[in-house]
Amino acid sequence: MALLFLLPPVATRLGGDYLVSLAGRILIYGLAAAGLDLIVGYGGMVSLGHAAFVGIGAYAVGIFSYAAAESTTVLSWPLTIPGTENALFTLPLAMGLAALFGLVTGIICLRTRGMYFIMITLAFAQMLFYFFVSLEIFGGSDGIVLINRNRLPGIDQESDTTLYYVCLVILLLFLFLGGRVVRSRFGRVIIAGRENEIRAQALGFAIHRYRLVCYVIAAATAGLSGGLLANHTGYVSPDLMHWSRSGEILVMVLLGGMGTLVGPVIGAAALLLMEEFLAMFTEHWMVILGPVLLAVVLFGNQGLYGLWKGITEKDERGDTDDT
Amino acid sequence: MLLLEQILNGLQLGVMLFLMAAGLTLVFGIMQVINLAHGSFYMIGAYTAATVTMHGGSFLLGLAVALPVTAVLGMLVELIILRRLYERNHLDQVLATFGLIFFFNELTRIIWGRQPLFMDVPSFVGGTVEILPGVDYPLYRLAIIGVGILVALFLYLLFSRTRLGMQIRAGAVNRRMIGALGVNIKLLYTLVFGLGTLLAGLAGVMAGPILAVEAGMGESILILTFVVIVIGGIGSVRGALAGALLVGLVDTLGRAFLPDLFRLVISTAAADRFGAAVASMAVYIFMAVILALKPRGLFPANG
Amino acid sequence: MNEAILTTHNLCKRFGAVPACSHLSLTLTPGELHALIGPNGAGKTTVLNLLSGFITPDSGSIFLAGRDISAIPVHGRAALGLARSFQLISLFDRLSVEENLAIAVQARSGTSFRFLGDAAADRRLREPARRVMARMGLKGCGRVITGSLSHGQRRQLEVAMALAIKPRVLLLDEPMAGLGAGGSQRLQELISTLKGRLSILLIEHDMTAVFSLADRITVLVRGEAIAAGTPDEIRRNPEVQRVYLGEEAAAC
Repeated sequence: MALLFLLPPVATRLGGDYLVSLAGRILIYGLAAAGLDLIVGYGGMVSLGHAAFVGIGAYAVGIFSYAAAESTTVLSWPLTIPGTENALFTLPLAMGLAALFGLVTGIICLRTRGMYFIMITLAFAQMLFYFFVSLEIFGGSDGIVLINRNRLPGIDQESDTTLYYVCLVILLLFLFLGGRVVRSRFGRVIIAGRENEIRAQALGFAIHRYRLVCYVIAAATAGLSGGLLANHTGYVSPDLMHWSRSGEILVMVLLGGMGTLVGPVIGAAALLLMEEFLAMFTEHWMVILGPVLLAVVLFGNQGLYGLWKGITEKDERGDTDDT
Repeated sequence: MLLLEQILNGLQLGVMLFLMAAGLTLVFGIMQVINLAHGSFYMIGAYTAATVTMHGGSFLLGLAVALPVTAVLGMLVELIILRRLYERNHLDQVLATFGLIFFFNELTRIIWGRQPLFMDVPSFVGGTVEILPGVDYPLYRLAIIGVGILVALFLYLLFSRTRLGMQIRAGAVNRRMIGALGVNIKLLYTLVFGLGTLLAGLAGVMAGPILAVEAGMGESILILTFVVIVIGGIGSVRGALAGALLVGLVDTLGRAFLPDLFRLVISTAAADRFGAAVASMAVYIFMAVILALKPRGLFPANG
Repeated sequence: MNEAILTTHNLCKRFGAVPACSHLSLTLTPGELHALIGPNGAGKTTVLNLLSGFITPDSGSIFLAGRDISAIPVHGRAALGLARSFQLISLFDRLSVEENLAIAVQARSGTSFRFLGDAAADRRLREPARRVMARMGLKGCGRVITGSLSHGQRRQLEVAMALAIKPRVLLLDEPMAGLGAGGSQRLQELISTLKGRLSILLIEHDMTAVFSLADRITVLVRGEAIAAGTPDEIRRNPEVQRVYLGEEAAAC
């Protein structure tokens, strides 16, 4: 934990801004992946459309920031909405819009199960992708470039290090709150729905309502990470919503260990580091990543976090349960 | 007339989607495996045919080579990888086949480079045909529609007249039962998968002359294929046909006419901006509406 | 005559050409134990599925305490006090016994849209769960993972889950299937203590249990109720003897 706080100064000494930037990216994707874990790991619903929420959050920030920097309005009709670079406004907006999209699509998607659900979440995300590609006013397939990062009162946002700390705080906050939610009564119902939906229904739980709330929470989280991502890279494009991105986030969840919240963050680190590492050797690193992924799925199961826990908890076995 | 032309375009897209969806819906329904890599076989079919024609072969030769290649490759993938995924949960299946996509796409880029390949429309179906007085339509696209009809007919005969077809249909409804009845499940699965990839490869070959042959081409049609399957119902070839034609028409007609419709209702500036964007969403909205009424599709196999 | 707590009016369901349930009009009075017997494939589980909401009938209606629940989904009926156990045991296998029951207790403990607070440590959930465990003979099994219980214990837990939501009506689907003589005896005793406090609809093949527990019996053959009455009446009914009891007696 302390390690994470000390990272930037250490990193800058080692590799310069690049490492800090990479670490920031890891945190941001970790946040999105942890949010997805709520749906996939705890809820047992495989969603292939999570990148859509990231994209919405990113675009929300991008659109408003661009409008503010260019002194134009976001909307002139039917009402005038000015842009803003105030992070206290843009980030919640990112969350809110993503949550709204999550609500609308969730109501439709969650009426379905299993394979249908996977394909529909995928379809909706891709729909959004095509939508933004065709929307010329928001840059179409070229996207939007952010002039400045969003401001947080009293903080210098332009420094990568500051952004890193902001992301870190947000991620830790989410892990804490998320952990509480997962252990709460609400969390129990979600888990019950995953373990045995029929039994849960027979006990009296309207599972779909709980799942919808869970879905919206995850969407809002992804939206937040999208907003942070827009600030981080300074650039927003429809590619953020491409389904391969959704797949990547899903990979992070699996790689790190689903149903743990922390696992996906580790998975994000693993995947992004692996990509960077492999990219150093060949531009065709995906040809290696593919089989690696396959191997992990076929032969691994616990995820990295589960593996680590297994090792560290070996000493604790042998305790007898009290009754 | 523009409308007729667009309808035919829609049917042609529908045929391509049907070829992709028919096999895939069976894989979903019988083997209960969600296979994201189906688009890769479409791509492989296209690349194989393009390579053959580039080296002096005729289109037909390209077709004759590409089809067995995709079928065999498909069966190999089934034997080596997919088998292990049948009993796994959907997440594992999604991620494993995702890995396959990465692998195939990148492999394609390694072998053929990043520049797209181009295929010419074969001369024997080149040119246009006058379908109505004064209305010309590319013969090639009509040929594609024709192929679609033939394939639909072939599948109909396969399913209703042959033992294999019956086994497949039974498997789509209740796969445990057919195992109990003594059908060689493993072989059946391999054949079904091979059939699916063959059809996908066929679609890819036919798409070659119309679209650019490049890595990642499979994925864009795959999303629409999923929409087709969701609308048609998992496990149902009939549903795949209905869904494919509907999706093909809605998407094509939507893109062609919605922006204009928008212009009628809203001022030009806004219409231009949003018309095209909304048109691209038309199919998905259509899907949402169908799902609201029938969450398991129009003709679910075990409905 | 007490007002019935659960009634069906002309309930019908076909699966294709097969009539699984034909014009079934059943009444359950408060506190009674009503047994549903019949040969395999008679449609007994279908009746339970119709009552609990897992299947929608083609026609007919269902009333719970005077309220039409025909359109209410599964979870709604459970929330109104209609609990069931499953013939094929349906539990949260990867969770512990106490966790299973705590979730059941949670279902009838107000809203579960609570996002803070540790459910695992909540005594308002754990204590009732432990009480049910004790009553069902599962004391001490709290931490055991459900999947590793013996079959008999799983059967007990299956019934316990239904009890834990404090239902008014309990639908039991072959709760003694696979239990040995001892287990059956214990479950019988338990069910007899429930009589009066709950209304129970019991599907069972174990005729000794049925005849000793039931206040009334309905006999179902191919989806139709061919006889209904007290155990004595049923025992003496020639139609029933011919169709069903004869086979069962021969098989025993």
